Order: sequence, then structure tokens, then C-alpha cells
Amino acid sequence: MPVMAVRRFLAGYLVIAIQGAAAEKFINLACGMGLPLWDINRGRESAVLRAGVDSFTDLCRLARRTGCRLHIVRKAGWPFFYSRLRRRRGLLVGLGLFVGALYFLSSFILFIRVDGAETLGRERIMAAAEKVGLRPGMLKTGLDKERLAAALLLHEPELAWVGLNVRGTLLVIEVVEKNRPPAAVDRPAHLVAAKDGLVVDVLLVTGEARVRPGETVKRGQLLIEGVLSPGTYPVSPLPARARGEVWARVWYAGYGEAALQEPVATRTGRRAASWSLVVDGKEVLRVGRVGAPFLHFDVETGKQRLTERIAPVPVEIITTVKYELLLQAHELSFETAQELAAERAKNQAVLQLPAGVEPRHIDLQVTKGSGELVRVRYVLETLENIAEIQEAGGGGH
Amino acid sequence: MAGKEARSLQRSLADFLELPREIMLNLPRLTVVGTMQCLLENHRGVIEYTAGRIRISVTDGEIIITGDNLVIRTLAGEEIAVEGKISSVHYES
Repeated sequence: MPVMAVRRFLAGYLVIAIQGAAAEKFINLACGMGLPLWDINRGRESAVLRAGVDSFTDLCRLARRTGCRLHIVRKAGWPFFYSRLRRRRGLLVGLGLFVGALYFLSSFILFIRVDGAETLGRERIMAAAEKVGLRPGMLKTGLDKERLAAALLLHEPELAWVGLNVRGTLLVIEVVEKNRPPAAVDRPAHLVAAKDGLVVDVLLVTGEARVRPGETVKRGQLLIEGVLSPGTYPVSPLPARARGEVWARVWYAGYGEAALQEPVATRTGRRAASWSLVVDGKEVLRVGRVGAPFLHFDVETGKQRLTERIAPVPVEIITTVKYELLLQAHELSFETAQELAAERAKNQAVLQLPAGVEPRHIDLQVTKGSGELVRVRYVLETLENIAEIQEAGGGGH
Repeated sequence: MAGKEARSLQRSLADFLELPREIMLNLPRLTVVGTMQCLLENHRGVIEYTAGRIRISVTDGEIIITGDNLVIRTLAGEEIAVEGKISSVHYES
């Protein structure tokens, strides 16, 4: 029915009132002539109905034949609306101006909202935003959201993350504040060993040293006790926050082995590729082979995002290329195998090394294992401050 | 008598060919939706129309619809749709 209603509106129609005793005859004759009538309402003295514009002449003739009086109550539909609109130039111009003004104003940021400011306060974020150039009245075009968010982040060091979202004429500044750890309080605490090592030097600031250079310590062992002994006074020691550094030699060991006959993989040049279309994390289409047609292969995957910022869900094309590998036994000399094993052991040892710590000494222990294996133990020695704070009452030592 | 015989023959033919009887016998077909809509196909014209009562001519008689605020929503060809608060639909032959 809505389709019919739209068609009638586009073609235009008349609301007609018929007065007279033979209204039924009028309706029947009109129906018989194939003139479409709808929404026929019977009042006390007249019947009101709707009819197409084209059938009006025929309806007038019918009214004369049946002795009914006919008059148009209303002209409705697009043709009448359009002709009225053409006569009312002012209205048309006003409408145009209104649409233009709406379009013009919608190209500006008119409002700014701050989401996520819990402790910093909206005013502070707004002030920072204004300094980086975000203010109501700015043009939406040329708004580099990523650059402005980065600038705002730099400008306000208390923020951990900033995101800018434009919704119509509203700019939403989403912020995440930095979650700073509470300031270190002066509660009693001990210093314990963070890792095993051989103590080389003890630098005491507050507390009492419980280890001496030359001693080996285990992880968790008490190094500096957080107490203050008041000298010769006969009172029990006062708890305090231990401060100081305990430097120790620490070793990190890695193990690696290599066979004298190592398999070496080389790409043969044959490859099989497949492409998948992924919408919102779900694969909807796959082109290419699913399984690998090779015995040995390695895989490279590439991801390309489509319709960035257009579709509400992420749409990606994932390309998977499988390269055939040829595994060949490769004879190695003892030295080469040792180098290979040492490299593997080194990688393992270096992984354990804390950031920013340089090894002082490297020890390599090579053993020729049973069969065709070369085993290497790679030991890195470092000098580190192994003292770690342990709050009093936070477990034994 | 001839008319009755012809009608009987038409009915038998409709049954034999499994065709809808209302088409073969030119009979009205009435669909009522609750008490708000009444759709009548194959009518012969409106005899009387007021807001409380509509009499519609059909083959071999008339159908009388009574109710309140009755409106003829569509009237096209041989189809008529009546809407309003329908209280009774009566067939009179």
C-alpha cells in the first residue's frame, strides 16, 4: 500500500465532495468506467472521496448525469505542491538559504566535549586543547585528528592517551589520564636480593647490611635490613626504610647445540597463495587453496585494511603465501657446528639479560656430545645492583 | 430452470477441473480481517452507503456490512475494501 500512496502522491490527486441523493449511483458508475476512487467517507450530507487528477473531467460529467453536486475540497500531491512552490519564490529562496546555512554551519566544529577527564578537570583539558588549536568555530576540513591528538598529548603530560572523534558538529576529546603509582611512602622496608649472585660491593645508606662482599646470595635473601640501631642506648632497634645498593656478579647461562649434519632449508621458488576477505573478524570469502600443497613450507601473511573509517566494522584482505622449502642435510665442520651452537646459546643467554646491562665477561664451555652433537654453554657475567625493596610484612626472606 | 441446470453444470465442471468455484460461478469472495477490514471481490456495485451500513450488490443477492465509521478504502474494478469498526457481515439472497 505505501507504494500506491507514493504513486498517488507523485501523480497528484483531488479530494472531492459529492452532494446529492444518488451518491451511490455516482460511485458505481465511476467504478464501472474504471475511474479509481479511494478513501470514500460518507458524511451526513455528502460523501468525500479521493480521485486521480485525470479522472476529474469524467467525474464532472458523471455528476451532471446523476444529478449530484461536486466540488473540490483540496488538491494534493506533488504537482500541486510544486506549482505552489514555484509561485512562492520567497519560500524557495528561504528553503535554499536554510539548506545552505545548514550545510555551511555543519562544516564547522561548534561544540567540544571532553570524555574521560576524571581528576584533571574539563577546564584544564579544554585550555590545553585551545593551545594546540582546538576551539569551537574551527573548520572540520583539514582537521588532522592524529596530529592534534599527539600535540595535545605532548602539551598535557598528565594524559596517557588522547582520541579525537567528530560527530556532526560535535568534537569529542576522549582522554585517558595517567595512572601514577602512589608516591613512595617512608614505610619500613628491607632490601633483598632480586637474583642470585656474588656480592662485590655494599653501599649502605640506611639500615644494617646483612651481607658482605665475597658472599654468595640467593634470590630473596635479605641484604640490608630496614632497622636503625640507636647505638649504645638500651632500646630495641627502630624499623626504618632500608636504602642502599648491593652490587653483585650475576651470571646468565644459555645452552645451544648443533648437529654436525644440520638440515638446511632453501626455498624452491614454488609458492601457493590464498586470499581471504575478513569482515569484523569473520572470514566471509576465501580464494585459493586452503591446505598446503607442499611437504615443507614456510608461511608469510600480509594484512590490508579496506574501507578504513568508512565501514563501521573492519574489513580486511588477508594474503597468505606458502613457500615450498627443500630440506637438505648439510655437513658441518666441528668449528662451524660450534659457532652455530654458540650462536644459539648466546641468543638464549642474551634474552635473559636485563635491558641496559652490558656483560662484563663471557664464558664459553664446549662439549662434544654423544653422536654428532656439539653442545655449548654460553655464560654471561654482569655486574648489577641486585637490591630490591621488600615492604616490611610482605613475605619472608 | 435452465439457469439452475447451467449453474449445476458449471459447478460440476469446476469440481472436475479443480478450478476455484468463485471464478467459474462468478460468486463473491469475502475476506474479513478481525473487525476492522472487509475485502470483497467480484461485487456488482454499491447499493447503499452510510457511515453505519454498506449494502453491496453481488451475484444472487447482496452483502450488508454494518458497523461504525465505515470507509470505502479502495474501490477499483471488482474489488472493494471496507474499513472501520465492523459489527456484522450479512448475506441476503
